[in-house]
Amino acid sequence: MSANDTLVTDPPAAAVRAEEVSMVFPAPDGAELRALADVSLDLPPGAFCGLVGPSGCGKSTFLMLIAGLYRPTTGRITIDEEQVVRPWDALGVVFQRDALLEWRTVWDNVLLPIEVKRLDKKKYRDRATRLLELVGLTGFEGFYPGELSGGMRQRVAICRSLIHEPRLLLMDEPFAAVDALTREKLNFDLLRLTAESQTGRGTTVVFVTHSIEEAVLLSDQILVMSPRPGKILRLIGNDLPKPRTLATRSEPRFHALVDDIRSAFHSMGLV
Amino acid sequence: MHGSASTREQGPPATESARPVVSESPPPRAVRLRGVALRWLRFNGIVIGLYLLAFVLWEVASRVFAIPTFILPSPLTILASAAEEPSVLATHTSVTLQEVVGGFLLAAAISIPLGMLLIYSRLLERLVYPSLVAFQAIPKVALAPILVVWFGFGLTSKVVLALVTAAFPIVINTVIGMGQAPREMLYLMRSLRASPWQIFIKARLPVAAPYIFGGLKIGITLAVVGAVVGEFIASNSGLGYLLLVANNNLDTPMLFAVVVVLAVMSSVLFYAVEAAEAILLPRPLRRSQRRLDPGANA
Ligand SMILES: Nc1ncnc2c1ncn2[C@@H]1O[C@H](COP(=O)(O)OP(=O)(O)O)[C@@H](O)[C@H]1O
Ligand SMILES: [Mg+2]
Repeated sequence: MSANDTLVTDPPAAAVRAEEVSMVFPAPDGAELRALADVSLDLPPGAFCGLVGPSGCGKSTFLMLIAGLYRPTTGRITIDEEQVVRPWDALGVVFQRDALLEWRTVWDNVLLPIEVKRLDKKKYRDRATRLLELVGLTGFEGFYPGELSGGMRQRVAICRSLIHEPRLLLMDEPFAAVDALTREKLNFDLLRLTAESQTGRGTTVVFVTHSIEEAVLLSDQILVMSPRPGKILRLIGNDLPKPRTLATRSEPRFHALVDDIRSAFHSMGLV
Repeated sequence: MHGSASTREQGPPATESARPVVSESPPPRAVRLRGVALRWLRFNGIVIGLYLLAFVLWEVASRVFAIPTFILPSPLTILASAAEEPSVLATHTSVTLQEVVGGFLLAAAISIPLGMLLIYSRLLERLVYPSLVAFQAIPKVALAPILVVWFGFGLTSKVVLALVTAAFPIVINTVIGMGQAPREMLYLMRSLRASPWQIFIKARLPVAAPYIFGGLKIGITLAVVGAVVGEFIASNSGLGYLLLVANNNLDTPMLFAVVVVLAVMSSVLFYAVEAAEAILLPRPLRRSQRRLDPGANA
Protein backbone atom coordinates (compact mmCIF):
# COMPACT_ATOMS: atom_id res chain seq x y z
CA MET A 1 0.00 0.00 0.00
CA SER A 2 1.43 3.34 -1.00
CA ALA A 3 0.80 6.60 0.83
CA ASN A 4 -1.53 7.67 -1.95
CA ASP A 5 -4.02 4.97 -1.11
CA THR A 6 -4.93 6.78 2.09
CA LEU A 7 -6.58 9.43 -0.06
CA VAL A 8 -8.93 6.87 -1.49
CA THR A 9 -10.36 6.11 1.93
CA ASP A 10 -11.75 9.63 2.05
CA PRO A 11 -15.34 9.84 0.90
CA PRO A 12 -15.36 10.49 -2.82
CA ALA A 13 -17.05 13.36 -4.59
CA ALA A 14 -20.81 13.42 -4.70
CA ALA A 15 -22.85 11.64 -7.36
CA VAL A 16 -25.83 13.82 -8.21
CA ARG A 17 -29.00 12.51 -9.82
CA ALA A 18 -32.13 14.37 -10.76
CA GLU A 19 -35.15 12.25 -11.66
CA GLU A 20 -37.83 14.07 -13.65
CA VAL A 21 -37.67 17.08 -11.42
CA SER A 22 -40.29 19.77 -11.89
CA MET A 23 -40.71 23.00 -10.01
CA VAL A 24 -43.84 25.11 -9.99
CA PHE A 25 -43.97 28.48 -8.26
CA PRO A 26 -47.14 30.35 -7.41
CA ALA A 27 -47.26 33.39 -9.69
CA PRO A 28 -48.42 36.77 -8.37
CA ASP A 29 -51.66 36.60 -10.39
CA GLY A 30 -52.64 33.37 -8.66
CA ALA A 31 -51.64 31.28 -11.63
CA GLU A 32 -48.80 28.80 -11.59
CA LEU A 33 -45.36 29.45 -12.91
CA ARG A 34 -43.60 26.39 -14.19
CA ALA A 35 -39.89 26.98 -13.74
CA LEU A 36 -38.55 23.48 -14.42
CA ALA A 37 -40.15 20.67 -16.36
CA ASP A 38 -39.04 17.06 -15.96
CA VAL A 39 -35.34 17.65 -15.64
CA SER A 40 -33.30 14.50 -15.37
CA LEU A 41 -29.58 14.39 -14.90
CA ASP A 42 -26.93 11.97 -13.82
CA LEU A 43 -23.65 13.48 -12.71
CA PRO A 44 -20.78 11.12 -11.89
CA PRO A 45 -18.59 11.93 -8.89
CA GLY A 46 -15.99 14.55 -9.65
CA ALA A 47 -17.70 15.93 -12.74
CA PHE A 48 -17.45 19.63 -13.49
CA CYS A 49 -20.80 20.41 -15.01
CA GLY A 50 -21.48 23.70 -16.75
CA LEU A 51 -25.11 24.74 -16.91
CA VAL A 52 -26.01 27.24 -19.60
CA GLY A 53 -29.39 28.52 -20.63
CA PRO A 54 -31.31 31.69 -21.31
CA SER A 55 -32.10 33.98 -18.44
CA GLY A 56 -35.13 32.89 -16.43
CA CYS A 57 -35.04 29.28 -17.63
CA GLY A 58 -34.71 27.90 -14.12
CA LYS A 59 -30.95 27.48 -13.68
CA SER A 60 -30.90 29.04 -10.24
CA THR A 61 -33.99 27.11 -9.28
CA PHE A 62 -32.30 23.87 -10.27
CA LEU A 63 -29.28 24.74 -8.19
CA MET A 64 -31.45 25.60 -5.20
CA LEU A 65 -33.12 22.22 -5.57
CA ILE A 66 -29.80 20.37 -5.59
CA ALA A 67 -28.73 22.46 -2.61
CA GLY A 68 -31.78 21.29 -0.72
CA LEU A 69 -32.93 24.87 -0.24
CA TYR A 70 -36.08 24.32 -2.34
CA ARG A 71 -38.20 21.20 -2.53
CA PRO A 72 -39.18 20.00 -6.00
CA THR A 73 -42.87 20.00 -6.86
CA THR A 74 -42.49 16.57 -8.42
CA GLY A 75 -39.58 14.24 -9.02
CA ARG A 76 -36.61 13.80 -6.79
CA ILE A 77 -32.97 14.64 -6.44
CA THR A 78 -30.46 12.32 -4.87
CA ILE A 79 -26.89 12.82 -3.78
CA ASP A 80 -24.99 9.56 -3.38
CA GLU A 81 -28.29 7.71 -3.80
CA GLU A 82 -29.84 9.55 -0.90
CA GLN A 83 -32.81 11.81 -1.48
CA VAL A 84 -32.15 15.47 -0.84
CA VAL A 85 -34.55 16.80 1.77
CA ARG A 86 -32.26 19.41 3.30
CA PRO A 87 -28.82 20.81 2.47
CA TRP A 88 -26.27 18.07 2.16
CA ASP A 89 -23.49 18.07 4.70
CA ALA A 90 -20.44 18.39 2.45
CA LEU A 91 -21.94 21.14 0.33
CA GLY A 92 -20.41 24.39 -0.82
CA VAL A 93 -22.47 27.13 -2.46
CA VAL A 94 -21.47 30.34 -4.22
CA PHE A 95 -24.26 32.74 -5.11
CA GLN A 96 -24.28 35.40 -7.77
CA ARG A 97 -24.16 38.01 -5.03
CA ASP A 98 -21.28 37.14 -2.78
CA ALA A 99 -23.29 37.15 0.48
CA LEU A 100 -20.21 38.02 2.50
CA LEU A 101 -20.83 39.05 6.09
CA GLU A 102 -19.73 42.69 6.09
CA TRP A 103 -18.87 42.74 9.80
CA ARG A 104 -16.45 39.86 9.53
CA THR A 105 -12.96 40.13 8.18
CA VAL A 106 -11.92 38.18 5.10
CA TRP A 107 -10.39 35.58 7.39
CA ASP A 108 -13.52 35.19 9.50
CA ASN A 109 -15.70 35.03 6.41
CA VAL A 110 -13.63 32.21 4.98
CA LEU A 111 -13.82 30.29 8.25
CA LEU A 112 -17.57 30.76 8.66
CA PRO A 113 -18.47 27.22 7.46
CA ILE A 114 -16.04 25.73 9.98
CA GLU A 115 -17.64 27.77 12.72
CA VAL A 116 -21.19 26.89 11.71
CA LYS A 117 -20.35 23.23 11.41
CA ARG A 118 -18.53 23.35 14.76
CA LEU A 119 -15.36 21.89 13.30
CA ASP A 120 -11.97 22.50 14.82
CA LYS A 121 -10.83 25.86 13.47
CA LYS A 122 -7.18 25.17 14.17
CA LYS A 123 -7.24 22.32 11.70
CA TYR A 124 -8.48 24.57 8.91
CA ARG A 125 -6.18 27.55 9.39
CA ASP A 126 -3.58 26.23 6.96
CA ARG A 127 -6.24 25.45 4.41
CA ALA A 128 -7.68 28.96 4.72
CA THR A 129 -4.24 30.46 4.28
CA ARG A 130 -3.62 28.24 1.27
CA LEU A 131 -6.96 29.00 -0.39
CA LEU A 132 -6.49 32.73 0.04
CA GLU A 133 -2.98 32.41 -1.35
CA LEU A 134 -4.29 30.54 -4.41
CA VAL A 135 -6.64 33.39 -5.27
CA GLY A 136 -4.05 36.06 -4.53
CA LEU A 137 -5.57 37.42 -1.35
CA THR A 138 -2.62 36.88 0.95
CA GLY A 139 -2.27 39.97 3.11
CA PHE A 140 -5.96 40.81 2.99
CA GLU A 141 -6.99 38.47 5.83
CA GLY A 142 -7.70 41.36 8.18
CA PHE A 143 -9.66 43.43 5.68
CA TYR A 144 -13.41 43.84 5.80
CA PRO A 145 -15.40 42.99 2.65
CA GLY A 146 -16.30 46.67 2.30
CA GLU A 147 -12.63 47.36 1.71
CA LEU A 148 -12.35 44.96 -1.26
CA SER A 149 -13.22 45.17 -4.94
CA GLY A 150 -16.05 43.13 -6.41
CA GLY A 151 -13.69 40.54 -7.85
CA MET A 152 -11.82 40.18 -4.57
CA ARG A 153 -15.09 39.74 -2.71
CA GLN A 154 -16.18 36.98 -5.04
CA ARG A 155 -12.83 35.26 -4.50
CA VAL A 156 -13.40 35.37 -0.76
CA ALA A 157 -16.82 33.81 -1.32
CA ILE A 158 -15.20 31.05 -3.36
CA CYS A 159 -12.61 30.37 -0.66
CA ARG A 160 -15.43 30.24 1.86
CA SER A 161 -17.30 27.70 -0.27
CA LEU A 162 -14.24 25.45 -0.36
CA ILE A 163 -12.88 25.71 3.17
CA HIS A 164 -14.77 22.73 4.57
CA GLU A 165 -13.65 20.45 1.73
CA PRO A 166 -17.08 20.16 0.14
CA ARG A 167 -17.69 17.17 -2.10
CA LEU A 168 -20.33 19.05 -4.00
CA LEU A 169 -19.87 22.64 -5.08
CA LEU A 170 -22.77 24.65 -6.52
CA MET A 171 -21.98 27.94 -8.17
CA ASP A 172 -24.68 30.27 -9.47
CA GLU A 173 -23.20 32.69 -11.99
CA PRO A 174 -20.45 33.48 -9.54
CA PHE A 175 -18.62 35.80 -11.90
CA ALA A 176 -21.56 37.59 -13.47
CA ALA A 177 -20.95 40.76 -11.52
CA VAL A 178 -17.23 41.17 -12.20
CA ASP A 179 -15.52 42.75 -15.16
CA ALA A 180 -14.29 40.68 -18.10
CA LEU A 181 -10.61 40.72 -17.17
CA THR A 182 -11.20 39.75 -13.57
CA ARG A 183 -13.60 37.11 -14.76
CA GLU A 184 -10.91 35.51 -16.86
CA LYS A 185 -8.56 35.49 -13.90
CA LEU A 186 -11.23 34.03 -11.65
CA ASN A 187 -11.91 31.26 -14.16
CA PHE A 188 -8.35 30.08 -13.91
CA ASP A 189 -8.38 30.55 -10.14
CA LEU A 190 -11.37 28.26 -10.00
CA LEU A 191 -9.73 25.62 -12.18
CA ARG A 192 -6.70 25.69 -9.92
CA LEU A 193 -8.81 25.52 -6.77
CA THR A 194 -10.93 22.61 -7.86
CA ALA A 195 -7.92 20.77 -9.24
CA GLU A 196 -6.30 21.27 -5.86
CA SER A 197 -9.38 20.00 -4.08
CA GLN A 198 -9.44 16.96 -6.26
CA THR A 199 -6.07 15.85 -4.99
CA GLY A 200 -7.96 15.39 -1.73
CA ARG A 201 -11.50 14.11 -1.71
CA GLY A 202 -12.59 15.34 -5.08
CA THR A 203 -15.45 17.69 -5.75
CA THR A 204 -18.41 17.51 -8.06
CA VAL A 205 -19.16 20.98 -9.40
CA VAL A 206 -22.32 22.40 -10.93
CA PHE A 207 -21.52 25.76 -12.40
CA VAL A 208 -24.26 28.01 -13.75
CA THR A 209 -23.21 30.63 -16.25
CA HIS A 210 -24.64 32.51 -19.15
CA SER A 211 -21.26 32.65 -20.80
CA ILE A 212 -20.82 29.79 -23.26
CA GLU A 213 -17.05 30.34 -23.38
CA GLU A 214 -16.83 30.12 -19.63
CA ALA A 215 -18.79 26.87 -19.59
CA VAL A 216 -16.57 25.34 -22.27
CA LEU A 217 -13.38 26.45 -20.59
CA LEU A 218 -14.29 25.07 -17.18
CA SER A 219 -16.46 22.01 -17.52
CA ASP A 220 -16.35 18.33 -18.46
CA GLN A 221 -20.03 18.30 -19.25
CA ILE A 222 -22.19 21.08 -20.52
CA LEU A 223 -25.92 21.10 -19.97
CA VAL A 224 -27.87 23.32 -22.30
CA MET A 225 -31.27 24.29 -20.96
CA SER A 226 -34.32 25.45 -22.88
CA PRO A 227 -36.30 28.59 -22.08
CA ARG A 228 -38.88 28.33 -19.33
CA PRO A 229 -40.09 25.88 -18.32
CA GLY A 230 -36.49 24.71 -18.25
CA LYS A 231 -35.72 21.36 -19.77
CA ILE A 232 -32.37 19.88 -20.52
CA LEU A 233 -31.98 20.36 -24.20
CA ARG A 234 -28.57 18.88 -24.72
CA LEU A 235 -25.81 17.28 -22.75
CA ILE A 236 -22.46 17.92 -24.35
CA GLY A 237 -19.35 16.07 -23.26
CA ASN A 238 -16.34 18.35 -23.22
CA ASP A 239 -13.19 16.41 -24.09
CA LEU A 240 -10.83 19.36 -24.14
CA PRO A 241 -7.57 18.26 -22.57
CA LYS A 242 -6.73 19.19 -18.99
CA PRO A 243 -5.32 21.16 -17.41
CA ARG A 244 -7.08 23.96 -19.22
CA THR A 245 -4.94 27.02 -19.71
CA LEU A 246 -5.00 30.25 -21.59
CA ALA A 247 -3.92 28.23 -24.64
CA THR A 248 -7.09 26.15 -24.42
CA ARG A 249 -9.06 29.10 -25.66
CA SER A 250 -7.19 29.20 -28.94
CA GLU A 251 -7.67 25.53 -29.75
CA PRO A 252 -9.95 24.78 -32.68
CA ARG A 253 -11.82 22.23 -30.56
CA PHE A 254 -12.67 24.99 -28.05
CA HIS A 255 -14.28 27.07 -30.77
CA ALA A 256 -16.03 24.08 -32.26
CA LEU A 257 -17.68 23.41 -28.90
CA VAL A 258 -18.62 27.03 -28.40
CA ASP A 259 -20.15 27.14 -31.87
CA ASP A 260 -21.97 23.92 -31.23
CA ILE A 261 -23.63 25.31 -28.11
CA ARG A 262 -24.31 28.63 -29.73
CA SER A 263 -26.13 26.89 -32.54
CA ALA A 264 -28.20 25.04 -29.97
CA PHE A 265 -29.28 28.43 -28.64
CA HIS A 266 -29.85 29.51 -32.21
CA SER A 267 -32.24 26.66 -32.77
CA MET A 268 -34.25 27.93 -29.79
CA GLY A 269 -34.42 31.27 -31.53
CA LEU A 270 -32.43 32.93 -28.77
CA VAL A 271 -29.38 34.34 -30.47
CA MET B 1 -21.33 30.77 22.13
CA HIS B 2 -19.77 34.12 21.71
CA GLY B 3 -21.26 37.57 21.33
CA SER B 4 -23.18 38.43 18.22
CA ALA B 5 -21.61 41.22 16.26
CA SER B 6 -18.29 41.24 18.01
CA THR B 7 -17.55 37.72 16.84
CA ARG B 8 -14.10 38.14 15.45
CA GLU B 9 -11.62 35.33 15.34
CA GLN B 10 -7.97 36.13 15.44
CA GLY B 11 -6.49 35.87 12.01
CA PRO B 12 -3.26 34.10 11.24
CA PRO B 13 0.03 35.83 12.03
CA ALA B 14 -0.02 37.28 8.54
CA THR B 15 -2.98 39.43 9.53
CA GLU B 16 -0.84 41.84 11.45
CA SER B 17 1.30 42.69 8.47
CA ALA B 18 -1.79 43.30 6.38
CA ARG B 19 -2.38 46.67 8.00
CA PRO B 20 0.01 49.53 7.40
CA VAL B 21 2.20 50.17 10.41
CA VAL B 22 1.78 53.74 11.57
CA SER B 23 4.91 54.50 13.54
CA GLU B 24 7.93 52.54 14.67
CA SER B 25 8.53 53.92 18.18
CA PRO B 26 5.71 55.64 20.02
CA PRO B 27 6.42 59.24 21.08
CA PRO B 28 6.33 60.07 24.81
CA ARG B 29 2.89 60.10 26.38
CA ALA B 30 2.72 63.86 26.96
CA VAL B 31 3.58 64.64 23.38
CA ARG B 32 1.02 62.12 22.16
CA LEU B 33 -1.71 63.59 24.36
CA ARG B 34 -0.95 67.09 23.16
CA GLY B 35 -1.18 65.82 19.60
CA VAL B 36 -4.58 64.30 20.28
CA ALA B 37 -5.81 67.47 21.97
CA LEU B 38 -4.60 69.63 19.11
CA ARG B 39 -6.25 67.43 16.53
CA TRP B 40 -9.50 67.44 18.48
CA LEU B 41 -9.38 71.21 18.74
CA ARG B 42 -8.67 71.63 15.05
CA PHE B 43 -11.57 69.33 14.22
CA ASN B 44 -14.06 70.87 16.65
CA GLY B 45 -12.64 74.36 16.96
CA ILE B 46 -15.01 75.93 14.43
CA VAL B 47 -18.07 74.39 16.02
CA ILE B 48 -17.08 75.45 19.52
CA GLY B 49 -16.14 78.91 18.29
CA LEU B 50 -19.47 79.43 16.56
CA TYR B 51 -21.41 78.34 19.64
CA LEU B 52 -19.40 80.70 21.82
CA LEU B 53 -19.97 83.49 19.34
CA ALA B 54 -23.72 82.88 19.42
CA PHE B 55 -23.74 83.10 23.22
CA VAL B 56 -21.69 86.28 23.16
CA LEU B 57 -24.08 87.83 20.61
CA TRP B 58 -27.04 86.78 22.75
CA GLU B 59 -25.47 88.32 25.86
CA VAL B 60 -24.60 91.53 24.03
CA ALA B 61 -28.02 91.76 22.40
CA SER B 62 -29.91 91.32 25.64
CA ARG B 63 -27.84 94.12 27.19
CA VAL B 64 -27.91 96.49 24.23
CA PHE B 65 -31.63 96.11 23.63
CA ALA B 66 -32.36 95.79 27.35
CA ILE B 67 -34.55 92.72 26.86
CA PRO B 68 -36.52 92.11 30.06
CA THR B 69 -35.24 89.10 31.96
CA PHE B 70 -38.73 87.62 32.38
CA ILE B 71 -38.99 87.40 28.58
CA LEU B 72 -35.51 86.29 27.60
CA PRO B 73 -32.74 86.16 30.17
CA SER B 74 -29.17 86.53 29.00
CA PRO B 75 -26.81 83.55 29.14
CA LEU B 76 -24.96 84.96 32.15
CA THR B 77 -28.22 85.52 34.04
CA ILE B 78 -29.22 81.91 33.36
CA LEU B 79 -25.83 80.73 34.53
CA ALA B 80 -26.07 82.84 37.68
CA SER B 81 -29.52 81.46 38.39
CA ALA B 82 -28.26 77.92 38.03
CA ALA B 83 -25.28 78.65 40.26
CA GLU B 84 -27.40 80.28 42.97
CA GLU B 85 -28.55 76.99 44.42
CA PRO B 86 -26.57 74.33 42.62
CA SER B 87 -27.61 71.58 45.02
CA VAL B 88 -31.32 72.11 44.22
CA LEU B 89 -30.69 71.77 40.52
CA ALA B 90 -28.41 68.79 41.13
CA THR B 91 -30.95 66.97 43.29
CA HIS B 92 -33.76 67.35 40.77
CA THR B 93 -31.45 66.45 37.89
CA SER B 94 -30.47 63.28 39.65
CA VAL B 95 -34.14 62.32 40.14
CA THR B 96 -34.95 62.85 36.47
CA LEU B 97 -31.80 61.07 35.39
CA GLN B 98 -32.79 58.02 37.40
CA GLU B 99 -36.26 57.98 35.88
CA VAL B 100 -34.89 58.38 32.37
CA VAL B 101 -32.14 55.77 32.63
CA GLY B 102 -34.39 53.32 34.46
CA GLY B 103 -37.20 53.74 31.96
CA PHE B 104 -34.86 53.53 29.01
CA LEU B 105 -33.08 50.40 30.19
CA LEU B 106 -36.40 48.68 30.88
CA ALA B 107 -37.69 49.80 27.48
CA ALA B 108 -34.62 48.33 25.79
CA ALA B 109 -34.82 45.13 27.80
CA ILE B 110 -38.46 44.63 26.78
CA SER B 111 -38.52 46.11 23.28
CA ILE B 112 -35.50 44.40 21.72
CA PRO B 113 -36.57 40.84 22.59
CA LEU B 114 -40.17 41.72 21.69
CA GLY B 115 -39.11 43.01 18.27
CA MET B 116 -37.15 39.81 17.70
CA LEU B 117 -40.06 37.61 18.74
CA LEU B 118 -42.37 39.46 16.37
CA ILE B 119 -40.11 38.45 13.47
CA TYR B 120 -40.23 34.79 14.38
CA SER B 121 -43.94 34.49 15.06
CA ARG B 122 -46.54 35.57 12.53
CA LEU B 123 -49.29 35.09 15.07
CA LEU B 124 -47.54 37.22 17.67
CA GLU B 125 -46.92 39.88 15.06
CA ARG B 126 -50.58 40.01 14.09
CA LEU B 127 -51.54 40.04 17.74
CA VAL B 128 -49.11 42.56 19.15
CA TYR B 129 -48.19 44.88 16.29
CA PRO B 130 -51.58 46.58 15.84
CA SER B 131 -52.00 47.20 19.55
CA LEU B 132 -48.48 48.54 19.65
CA VAL B 133 -49.31 51.01 16.92
CA ALA B 134 -52.60 51.96 18.57
CA PHE B 135 -50.79 52.45 21.87
CA GLN B 136 -48.23 54.69 20.25
CA ALA B 137 -51.03 56.84 18.81
CA ILE B 138 -52.14 57.77 22.34
CA PRO B 139 -50.52 60.98 23.56
CA LYS B 140 -48.45 59.87 26.51
CA VAL B 141 -49.70 62.81 28.61
CA ALA B 142 -53.07 61.11 28.60
CA LEU B 143 -51.53 58.07 30.26
CA ALA B 144 -49.78 59.95 33.03
CA PRO B 145 -52.79 60.28 35.38
CA ILE B 146 -53.57 56.58 35.03
CA LEU B 147 -49.96 55.65 35.71
CA VAL B 148 -49.97 57.81 38.81
CA VAL B 149 -53.06 55.97 40.04
CA TRP B 150 -51.38 52.64 39.35
CA PHE B 151 -47.81 53.33 40.40
CA GLY B 152 -48.12 56.24 42.79
CA PHE B 153 -46.73 59.72 43.05
CA GLY B 154 -43.06 58.73 43.21
CA LEU B 155 -40.32 57.52 40.92
CA THR B 156 -42.05 54.42 39.55
CA SER B 157 -44.81 56.16 37.61
CA LYS B 158 -42.21 58.31 35.79
CA VAL B 159 -40.01 55.33 35.06
CA VAL B 160 -43.02 53.60 33.51
CA LEU B 161 -43.94 56.68 31.50
CA ALA B 162 -40.36 56.97 30.24
CA LEU B 163 -40.51 53.29 29.38
CA VAL B 164 -43.70 53.45 27.33
CA THR B 165 -42.55 56.59 25.56
CA ALA B 166 -39.19 55.11 24.60
CA ALA B 167 -40.35 51.61 23.71
CA PHE B 168 -42.04 52.18 20.36
CA PRO B 169 -39.09 53.25 18.19
CA ILE B 170 -36.96 50.49 19.71
CA VAL B 171 -39.51 47.78 18.86
CA ILE B 172 -40.12 49.12 15.37
CA ASN B 173 -36.43 49.47 14.56
CA THR B 174 -35.70 46.01 15.92
CA VAL B 175 -38.43 44.55 13.71
CA ILE B 176 -37.11 46.42 10.67
CA GLY B 177 -33.52 45.45 11.42
CA MET B 178 -34.33 41.80 11.95
CA GLY B 179 -35.81 41.64 8.47
CA GLN B 180 -32.80 43.18 6.76
CA ALA B 181 -30.56 40.14 6.29
CA PRO B 182 -30.39 39.57 2.53
CA ARG B 183 -31.95 36.40 1.18
CA GLU B 184 -28.63 35.07 -0.13
CA MET B 185 -27.10 35.40 3.30
CA LEU B 186 -29.86 33.33 4.84
CA TYR B 187 -29.63 30.75 2.06
CA LEU B 188 -25.90 30.57 2.58
CA MET B 189 -26.36 29.93 6.29
CA ARG B 190 -28.95 27.28 5.58
CA SER B 191 -26.74 25.65 2.96
CA LEU B 192 -24.20 25.20 5.77
CA ARG B 193 -26.94 23.60 7.88
CA ALA B 194 -26.85 26.44 10.36
CA SER B 195 -29.33 26.09 13.19
CA PRO B 196 -31.99 28.78 13.66
CA TRP B 197 -29.97 30.03 16.61
CA GLN B 198 -26.80 30.25 14.51
CA ILE B 199 -28.67 32.09 11.78
CA PHE B 200 -29.98 34.49 14.38
CA ILE B 201 -26.69 35.13 16.13
CA LYS B 202 -24.37 35.09 13.11
CA ALA B 203 -26.51 36.76 10.46
CA ARG B 204 -29.76 38.36 11.55
CA LEU B 205 -28.57 40.04 14.73
CA PRO B 206 -25.41 41.67 13.32
CA VAL B 207 -27.41 42.99 10.37
CA ALA B 208 -30.07 44.29 12.76
CA ALA B 209 -27.65 45.84 15.25
CA PRO B 210 -27.27 49.27 13.59
CA TYR B 211 -31.06 49.52 13.25
CA ILE B 212 -31.55 48.57 16.89
CA PHE B 213 -29.06 51.24 17.91
CA GLY B 214 -30.98 53.71 15.76
CA GLY B 215 -34.09 52.85 17.77
CA LEU B 216 -32.18 53.16 21.04
CA LYS B 217 -30.94 56.62 20.09
CA ILE B 218 -34.46 57.85 19.40
CA GLY B 219 -35.67 56.00 22.48
CA ILE B 220 -33.26 57.63 24.92
CA THR B 221 -34.33 61.14 23.93
CA LEU B 222 -38.00 60.16 24.15
CA ALA B 223 -37.38 58.70 27.60
CA VAL B 224 -36.40 62.19 28.76
CA VAL B 225 -39.63 63.57 27.33
CA GLY B 226 -41.63 60.83 29.05
CA ALA B 227 -40.04 61.39 32.44
CA VAL B 228 -40.51 65.17 32.32
CA VAL B 229 -44.13 64.84 31.21
CA GLY B 230 -44.71 62.52 34.15
CA GLU B 231 -43.17 65.03 36.53
CA PHE B 232 -45.35 67.73 35.07
CA ILE B 233 -48.50 65.80 35.85
CA ALA B 234 -47.78 64.70 39.38
CA SER B 235 -44.61 64.84 41.39
CA ASN B 236 -42.66 66.71 44.01
CA SER B 237 -39.22 66.33 42.51
CA GLY B 238 -37.39 66.17 39.21
CA LEU B 239 -36.60 68.74 36.54
CA GLY B 240 -40.21 68.76 35.28
CA TYR B 241 -41.37 69.65 38.77
CA LEU B 242 -38.70 72.33 39.06
CA LEU B 243 -39.89 73.72 35.75
CA LEU B 244 -43.43 74.05 37.11
CA VAL B 245 -42.19 75.72 40.28
CA ALA B 246 -40.05 78.19 38.31
CA ASN B 247 -43.03 78.89 36.09
CA ASN B 248 -45.29 79.61 39.06
CA ASN B 249 -42.68 81.96 40.51
CA LEU B 250 -42.22 83.67 37.12
CA ASP B 251 -38.54 82.78 37.55
CA THR B 252 -37.64 82.83 33.87
CA PRO B 253 -33.87 82.46 34.37
CA MET B 254 -34.48 79.31 36.41
CA LEU B 255 -36.84 78.04 33.72
CA PHE B 256 -34.12 78.48 31.17
CA ALA B 257 -31.53 76.91 33.44
CA VAL B 258 -33.71 73.79 33.74
CA VAL B 259 -34.25 73.67 29.99
CA VAL B 260 -30.49 73.88 29.45
CA VAL B 261 -29.87 71.08 31.94
CA LEU B 262 -32.49 68.93 30.19
CA ALA B 263 -30.90 69.57 26.83
CA VAL B 264 -27.45 68.75 28.12
CA MET B 265 -28.73 65.60 29.83
CA SER B 266 -30.49 64.37 26.68
CA SER B 267 -27.41 65.02 24.59
CA VAL B 268 -25.09 63.28 26.99
CA LEU B 269 -27.38 60.25 27.12
CA PHE B 270 -27.70 60.22 23.33
CA TYR B 271 -23.95 60.25 22.86
CA ALA B 272 -23.59 57.60 25.55
CA VAL B 273 -25.76 55.29 23.42
CA GLU B 274 -23.68 56.21 20.41
CA ALA B 275 -20.49 55.41 22.34
CA ALA B 276 -21.93 52.04 23.31
CA GLU B 277 -22.62 51.43 19.63
CA ALA B 278 -19.05 52.30 18.73
CA ILE B 279 -17.73 49.93 21.38
CA LEU B 280 -20.07 47.02 20.68
CA LEU B 281 -20.22 47.03 16.90
CA PRO B 282 -17.33 46.17 14.59
CA ARG B 283 -16.20 48.97 12.33
CA PRO B 284 -18.25 48.16 9.19
CA LEU B 285 -21.51 48.28 11.13
CA ARG B 286 -20.94 51.63 12.76
CA ARG B 287 -22.94 54.69 11.85
CA SER B 288 -19.98 56.76 10.69
CA GLN B 289 -19.01 54.02 8.26
CA ARG B 290 -22.22 54.38 6.33
CA ARG B 291 -21.86 57.95 5.27
CA LEU B 292 -22.80 59.03 1.80
CA ASP B 293 -19.32 60.05 0.74
CA PRO B 294 -16.89 57.22 1.39
CA GLY B 295 -13.87 59.47 1.06
CA ALA B 296 -14.83 61.39 4.17
CA ASN B 297 -13.69 58.82 6.70
CA ALA B 298 -10.27 58.16 5.29
N1 LIG C 1 -38.69 31.95 -5.17
C1 LIG C 1 -39.39 32.11 -6.30
N2 LIG C 1 -40.71 32.39 -6.25
C2 LIG C 1 -41.44 32.52 -7.37
N3 LIG C 1 -40.93 32.41 -8.61
C3 LIG C 1 -39.62 32.14 -8.74
C4 LIG C 1 -38.78 31.98 -7.59
N4 LIG C 1 -37.53 31.71 -8.02
C5 LIG C 1 -37.58 31.72 -9.36
N5 LIG C 1 -38.83 31.97 -9.79
C6 LIG C 1 -39.26 32.02 -11.20
O1 LIG C 1 -38.78 30.87 -11.83
C7 LIG C 1 -38.25 31.19 -13.10
C8 LIG C 1 -36.82 30.71 -13.20
O2 LIG C 1 -36.03 31.50 -12.36
P1 LIG C 1 -34.48 31.24 -12.14
O3 LIG C 1 -34.29 29.84 -11.70
O4 LIG C 1 -33.97 32.29 -11.21
O5 LIG C 1 -33.90 31.45 -13.59
P2 LIG C 1 -32.36 31.60 -14.07
O6 LIG C 1 -31.49 31.41 -12.90
O7 LIG C 1 -32.19 30.57 -15.12
O8 LIG C 1 -32.24 32.97 -14.67
C9 LIG C 1 -38.39 32.68 -13.29
O9 LIG C 1 -39.48 32.93 -14.13
C10 LIG C 1 -38.64 33.20 -11.90
O10 LIG C 1 -39.52 34.29 -11.94
MG1 LIG D 1 -30.19 32.78 -11.96
